[in-house]
Amino acid sequence: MIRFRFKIDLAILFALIIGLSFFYLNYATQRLLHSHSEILHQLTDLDLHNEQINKEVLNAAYRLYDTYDRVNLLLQKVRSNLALVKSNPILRSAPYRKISNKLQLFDISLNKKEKAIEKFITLNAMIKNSATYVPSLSTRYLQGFDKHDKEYLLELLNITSAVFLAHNAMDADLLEAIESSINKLKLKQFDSEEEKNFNRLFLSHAQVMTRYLPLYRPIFENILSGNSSQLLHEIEESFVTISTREANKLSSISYAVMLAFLLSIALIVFLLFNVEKSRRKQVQLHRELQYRATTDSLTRLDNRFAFLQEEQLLNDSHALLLINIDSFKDINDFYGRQIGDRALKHISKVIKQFANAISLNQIYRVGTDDFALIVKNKTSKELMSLTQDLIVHIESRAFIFQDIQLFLRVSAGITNTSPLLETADLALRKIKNTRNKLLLYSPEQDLEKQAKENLTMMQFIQEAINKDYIVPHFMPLMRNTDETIVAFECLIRLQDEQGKLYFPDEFLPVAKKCRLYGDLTKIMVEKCFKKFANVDYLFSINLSIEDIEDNDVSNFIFAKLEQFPETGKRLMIEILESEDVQNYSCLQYFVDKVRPYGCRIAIDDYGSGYSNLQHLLNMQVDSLKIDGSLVEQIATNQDTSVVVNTIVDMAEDMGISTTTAEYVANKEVFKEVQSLNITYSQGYYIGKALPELITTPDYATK
Amino acid sequence: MKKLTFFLLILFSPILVWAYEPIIPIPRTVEYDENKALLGKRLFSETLLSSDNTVSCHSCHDFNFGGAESKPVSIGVYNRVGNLNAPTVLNSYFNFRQFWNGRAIDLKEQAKGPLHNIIEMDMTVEKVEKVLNAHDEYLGLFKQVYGKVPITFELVVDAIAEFEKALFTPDSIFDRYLRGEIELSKTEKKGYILFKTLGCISCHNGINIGGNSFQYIGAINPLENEVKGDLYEISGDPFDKNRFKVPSLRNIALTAPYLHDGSRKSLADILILMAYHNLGFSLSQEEIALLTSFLKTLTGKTPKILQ
Repeated sequence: MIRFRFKIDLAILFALIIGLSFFYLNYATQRLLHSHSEILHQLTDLDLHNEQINKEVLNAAYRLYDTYDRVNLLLQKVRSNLALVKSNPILRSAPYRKISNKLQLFDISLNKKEKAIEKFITLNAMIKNSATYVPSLSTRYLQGFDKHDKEYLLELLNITSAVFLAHNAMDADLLEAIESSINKLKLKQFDSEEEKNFNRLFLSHAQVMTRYLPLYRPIFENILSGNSSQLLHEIEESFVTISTREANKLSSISYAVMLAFLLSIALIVFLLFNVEKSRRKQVQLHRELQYRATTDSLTRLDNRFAFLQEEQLLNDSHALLLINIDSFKDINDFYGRQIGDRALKHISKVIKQFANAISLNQIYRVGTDDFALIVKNKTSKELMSLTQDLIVHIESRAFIFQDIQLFLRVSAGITNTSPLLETADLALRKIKNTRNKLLLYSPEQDLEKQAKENLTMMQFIQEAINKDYIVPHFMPLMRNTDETIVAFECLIRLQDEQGKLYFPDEFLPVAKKCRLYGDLTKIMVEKCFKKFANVDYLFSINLSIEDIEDNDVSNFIFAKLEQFPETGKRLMIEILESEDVQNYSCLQYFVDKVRPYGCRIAIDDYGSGYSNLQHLLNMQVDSLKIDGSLVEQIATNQDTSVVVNTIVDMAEDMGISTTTAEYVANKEVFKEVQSLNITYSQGYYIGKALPELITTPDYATK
Repeated sequence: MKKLTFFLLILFSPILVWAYEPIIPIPRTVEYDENKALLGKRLFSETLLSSDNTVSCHSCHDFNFGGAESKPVSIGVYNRVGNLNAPTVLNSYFNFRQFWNGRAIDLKEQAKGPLHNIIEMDMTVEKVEKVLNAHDEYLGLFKQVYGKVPITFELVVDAIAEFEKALFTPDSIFDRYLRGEIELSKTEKKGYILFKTLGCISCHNGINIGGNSFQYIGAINPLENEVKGDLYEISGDPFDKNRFKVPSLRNIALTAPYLHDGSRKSLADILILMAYHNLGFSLSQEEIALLTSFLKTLTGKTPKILQ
């Protein structure tokens, strides 16, 4: 910033200097030009008047008489011209000192000239008069006197002609010849006073000539050939030389200033160029930053920030598909982050492929494993089918790495309700609690409502514990070989004071979240132990991984087994095999601990999801409960039948002693179950879960 | 042919020369600053400008005597007697120099002379300024005319010179004759021709009929008395002995007595003197009469500022 300020100041300073230089040059040039022409003009005037003086002097010499006013006037003019030239300020500056000195010399020569002219005029008046008097007196001698001395007359004429010649020739030498004549006249004796006076008068005038003519010519020549003219010409010449030199100096400076000006223009162009360059750089940088800020570096898709920006431009006609990778965390944990990233890249590529094929290009990565797709003008039905297609598209394309094929599972939240991302996320979360792959958000699924319901449910569960609303129901299990009820599965139900029954689906998720789950399990265990203490039936209790990992619950179970060993021998613990099982060692510990009491271990919902054979073998499970969704189709779907058969065979191979089929709803299913050598059946065909123990199957009583 | 033309030109050139009149009429108007001139007029007759408060410029340049004096030589403060007869102040603006010996280049310089002269007004620059600055009326006048006070010596001589510039006397009979407005009488005309042929014109020419060159008095026959106040007194050059500024013949009929020392009382006297000493001969009575009648045509109108 300081540098910038400095540059600006420097530029202004530079501009000022150049500007002032221009002004100065302009001023100096004008001054020079003006003074030059002025002085030259004055010098010319001076020269002219000086020459005119010479002309006047010539005039005076030529004419018998004339006015001297003109020559005086001209001298006055020359004086004032000279004063004007001398007063010009430019002549006081150093380069013109020479001129000033010469003007001083001219002044001196002018004074001399003036004095000479004054003398010349004095002499001129006398000489002119005498030059006319001498011949006229000769004439008068002839006219005025009766008798003429011939010799005397000859002398007069001799003098007259010499005076005439000498005057006209302006040559005093010509008068030398008359000296003897003058002497003769001086010595001549006259009879009359008149003659004597005449002679004296004549002599006086002749002597004016002899006396003053020798002075007259040198003064005359001195005036005309004086050095004043020459001096003036010298002054003019040196003035022109000096002022030309000064003008050259100025033009050199002006070249320099012009050069500086051009340089500064070049500098400005350069600076402008630089500014433009850095501006472009900035624009580029800005674009890059924008790109980085709005682009996900991993998948090259637009990021959440970009989506949030875009979202503001969206309206009711827009809808959002939010695709989430199921259990992405597991992929990351299991295969490592690097593979996880590659999986993300793969999936983004696949989504892009799908979207581009149907001309959608607004794809965003809005979370770690969340991908958003903006679509427009689609009905709910179209949205659902589009999403279904997308899911199929994704799930049918394996992610391959190091020769391993991995089919990624995804779920999708769909929304056309603003705010899109939030509502889509809600829909997605809703799905995770179910087994669905996709869900269209509707305002009824509102989270707030859910939260409220959760709170109500939580309070209800607490109340149920306090007021003992827990009513175990017992689902009969029939041995397939002899169609006898031999066991019951204990299922938890809550029954409020109005007698309304609540099923586990409704309250267990809430209970699990608020740590009331353990209490429910303990009450169930307590009640079931009581119920089956004095009857000779097997009974099974469902435990979740949370129960087993909860020391309080597991210790309670251990204590019950210790306290009621007879009852404990008939207990079967059903564990839900699921991907949630993180800590197998804990599970193994539990199994090892309960087995000595004669407890049996069953795996619930086997074949529904994620089952690990290794773990099954390690735990030495006693029973497998085949998932109801398989059993349901057993009579109608040949494939399902094969799968169930395989499970049964496998269980036998693994030394698992018993198998149970759930959801046996009718005779057809039951027959099939019987034919597949499954040990037990349970379901509505056999009997519903009731608070009382049913000892005969339903179908037998009908 | 060329040669013939040249010959004729040489032959008739004197005639061409004669076609010039060597005397020039006084212009009818001369530009001057009237306010300054009026102030100068006042100062011209101000006796405060002399050391004994008795003498003013007017004392010696009396307009009743053609701007000159009736006494042979000037009498200054305390009746101190000078050397020279005061020349007329009329038309003095047209003189190429001032004073008999031409030591002043112009009227301003001239005005300082008598003020400083011990015999004449006997003042100094300081005294003049002191006297006038103590005078309320002059303070007011100078303020009005020059727009500034205090009064300086330079302003005083400037005003006086401006007044003297206004003292021109146009429209004399002779000037009007030169302009072709009137004819001269026969005697006057003869007088003028005589003036030229005798050679008076050699020195008395130009606008002031004199006053434009230095010439000798007694060029042919020296004066009997020792000459005072000539150029020699200031230059020391032997050439300048008996050399004076030629006096103007304008208004000569009014400015008796004549000559530098005021020694000639009448026109006839001075004519006789000048003819003898400067031309070498004696004028006849007829010549004197003719020349006198010519000289009388040189009297012009009273300057407007004096009317």
